[in-house]
Amino acid sequence: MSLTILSANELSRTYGKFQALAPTQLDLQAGEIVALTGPNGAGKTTLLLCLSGLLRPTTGQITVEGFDLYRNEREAKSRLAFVPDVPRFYPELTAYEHLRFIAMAYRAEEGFDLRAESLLREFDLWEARDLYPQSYSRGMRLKLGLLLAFIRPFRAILLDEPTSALDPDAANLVGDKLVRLRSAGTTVLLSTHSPELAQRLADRSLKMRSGHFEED
Amino acid sequence: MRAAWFVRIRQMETRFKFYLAILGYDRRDRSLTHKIYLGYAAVFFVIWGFAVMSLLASSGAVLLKNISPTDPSLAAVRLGWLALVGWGIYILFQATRRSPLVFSEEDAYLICQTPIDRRAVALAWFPADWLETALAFWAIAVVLGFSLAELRIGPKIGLVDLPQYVTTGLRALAAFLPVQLGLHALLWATGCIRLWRERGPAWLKPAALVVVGLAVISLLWVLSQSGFAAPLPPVLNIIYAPLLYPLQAGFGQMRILAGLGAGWLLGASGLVSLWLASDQLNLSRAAQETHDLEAVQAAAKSGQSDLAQELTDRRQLGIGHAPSRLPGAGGLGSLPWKDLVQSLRLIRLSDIFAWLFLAICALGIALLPSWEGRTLALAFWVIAAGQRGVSRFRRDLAQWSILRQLPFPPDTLMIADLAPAWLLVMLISGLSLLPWLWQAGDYGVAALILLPGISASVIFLGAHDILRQANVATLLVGRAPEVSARGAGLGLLLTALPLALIFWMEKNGLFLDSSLPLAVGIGLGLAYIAWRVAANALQGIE
Repeated sequence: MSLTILSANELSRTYGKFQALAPTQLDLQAGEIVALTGPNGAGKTTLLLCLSGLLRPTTGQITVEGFDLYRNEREAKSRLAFVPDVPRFYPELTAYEHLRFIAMAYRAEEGFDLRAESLLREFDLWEARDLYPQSYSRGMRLKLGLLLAFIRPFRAILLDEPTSALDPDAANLVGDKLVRLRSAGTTVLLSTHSPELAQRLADRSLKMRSGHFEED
Repeated sequence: MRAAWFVRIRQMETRFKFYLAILGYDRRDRSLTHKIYLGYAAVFFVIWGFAVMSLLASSGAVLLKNISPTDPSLAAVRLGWLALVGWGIYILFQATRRSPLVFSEEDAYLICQTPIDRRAVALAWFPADWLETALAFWAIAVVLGFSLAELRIGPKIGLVDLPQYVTTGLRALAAFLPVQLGLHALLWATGCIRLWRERGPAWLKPAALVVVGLAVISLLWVLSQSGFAAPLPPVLNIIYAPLLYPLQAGFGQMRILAGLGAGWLLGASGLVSLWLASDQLNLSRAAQETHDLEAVQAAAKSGQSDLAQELTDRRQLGIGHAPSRLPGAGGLGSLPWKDLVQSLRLIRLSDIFAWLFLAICALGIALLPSWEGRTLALAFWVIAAGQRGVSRFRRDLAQWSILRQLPFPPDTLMIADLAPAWLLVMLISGLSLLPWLWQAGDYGVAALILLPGISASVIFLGAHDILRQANVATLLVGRAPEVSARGAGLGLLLTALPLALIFWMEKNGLFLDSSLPLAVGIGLGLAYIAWRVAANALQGIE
């Protein structure tokens, strides 16, 4: 029997009279990768922002392993990670300090140094760990955004175009990492404009247009 | 020659159009009413400037009279000299560190890579930079001139005295103008010499530092003398003659023509030096040194203060840092750890002044003799405490994708993020209020007891005001709103409530002992309400 990790019920988002996201029902199971595809302005990012709690939906309820994202915020958010397409960072903290801060906030300090080194080396950021992210290239910033999620535990991860700024090797690395997460029972929802990536990784694809899901 | 001037004039035109747009003047609108409006705006600013300078001149007259009761013009000369030398030291020091010519990224590609006449570039770039600093000196000159006129004419200045009043100001301005022009051009010439070819001459930096050192010593010497306007020793009189003669002429101590001649001689020498020094100017080096600065200046001039601050911070931070060794706690304790690392990593001068201002306001509450003065100081304290208290929270909000993902409910997140600033506001204000304890025991004690509740209300209300204006789209690109006038007004109201209660009860025969607990309760209750309202606003950001 499959286990629902992330669930959205009648989720919608409007801006004034413009409906960016029509009422949506979504259930993501443990250990599956779901690709969110569709043209620009289809509502993919709005859906991810709502699911992550960064943007309050106009209607609907979101639960993570049964915990309501707004009523049981602590429990829900400690199980959920989101990586935006253009991550932003504190100007005064280096990449390594960002990882440490996130690990501390999520109480994932045990074995932090080893995990941080391993992740930084895997994503080729070890040499640049003491630099401020402002001096990083766009691809490096995206990698660091991913690492801020990977440094702490989660049951579901939402990624907004996670390979858009990456070179082919790094994109493959991210793909492999997501496959490993799936094997460990993690739920992955990623938006992408790359049909190849969706085909290679996803167990199923959800196509969006004008705020609605389309039949694929 | 023409290319450099063509580009520079276009740039100045664009900047001028921007200022006109702020005034609400649209150059495309050729209607008569629009032209009349421009004329009206020009007249308004002339009159406004005259009024402000006349107002300042009243205080200036008192200052000059106090410095030199027998001959206030001596004090005017000394103050003018002090302003010019102090500014000159700063600019000379700056000229040994970075190019005086500031180029944008576009200039770096389109001008600095071309075999354009270097002298033309230096002379074309000079006027705008000079004007920006000159305006301040012109204002100083006119205010000092008006101050002297006030002292000469007497306290009752009539319309009939206006020509003499204006002429005295213009005479001072006529003296300052060439002197400051020449000095500025000389300092630019120094900066241009540093940019000769690849490295610039080795003697320049030590020579400039010697000049700076001597100027600082002479300034300190003058400031340490008991009579501020006392005559300078002969050696300083000779060294500073090119500055002193024109100023003495401007303030009526010698014939105007002789002084102006000396002033214009300095002005012309400066411009010729700049012309000579800029021949071998390395424009690529100048562009490399200044394109970051140009971005900061452009952002600041167009009102994007957050962007200007962000760019300045980046310059100050550099590209990296060894990991912080500060111990930190897990969970909510991670937020104060982050705040502390950030605060130690980047110490902004503007932040130091803002905290100092808060301390001065609290000191004002404690020390000012009248209740009216204390009320005014309290109003400024509320605004400063609100802005200081939410300063870090604003910056955290600008990292929305990190902050909002943290596994903390909004109410606890707000407390953890605002608590360090609240403690600092309390510490600084509390220490500044201490003199009140000795001066008027009961009121001092009351102020210290009320401080936690009132400062918490003000800070939570400031946070609510920011959150009320914020939206996710702008937070995601790193822009958080500032505390608005409405937020400041509400902060004042919240502060006034418990204080008004104390005064009202005291007026009605109840002593402080009985009214204070109620006021503290109201203060803490208001803080609680402000906290809940702010937490709801954080969760409900659209």
